Amino acid sequence: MSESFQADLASLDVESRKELMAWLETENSKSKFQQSIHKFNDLCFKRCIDKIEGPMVTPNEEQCLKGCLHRFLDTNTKVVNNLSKLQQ
Amino acid sequence: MALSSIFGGSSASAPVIPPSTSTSSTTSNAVKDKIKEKLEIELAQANATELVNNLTENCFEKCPGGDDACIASCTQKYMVSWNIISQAYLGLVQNAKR
Repeated sequence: MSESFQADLASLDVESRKELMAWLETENSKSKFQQSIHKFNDLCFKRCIDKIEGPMVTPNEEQCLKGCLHRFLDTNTKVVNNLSKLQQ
Repeated sequence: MALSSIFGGSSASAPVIPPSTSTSSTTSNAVKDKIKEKLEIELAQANATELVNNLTENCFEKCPGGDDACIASCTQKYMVSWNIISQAYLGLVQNAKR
């Protein structure tokens, strides 16, 4: 971050800094959500979109995308469960 | 990203910025808005970069010939797909919270 940014931050009173931190926390989780979508879409587009025959996503492709998302999240849960079993 | 990284360094070594008492609340608000605006731009840029990188990679793969029509369709399809995934994931997250 630039020097002026640090200087701006230093000039704020405690209340404003608290408010800014709360705002940042919200922005941070929004950003994390977007990051997840980028990741999921990258994976599922590769898996579900076979050919680019036009700009439309077909109903079959849409079903596949939703299924892909569910399967990815299920895999995540299962992997975590397996890991915790391994640790026991 | 840890919040502390934005404010410089780990929490252990973060410089303690003395609270300012002289600043009036109007100046404070202006400064706050300025900081928010700056961070919003940085976040939006990071998001756009990620999107462009993923789009390029995927359409490079789906359009080996690299023709304009394919890339245009691929771009549109990728964005539609983005919205489908986003809506579906949002629905799942909101359901899980209930």
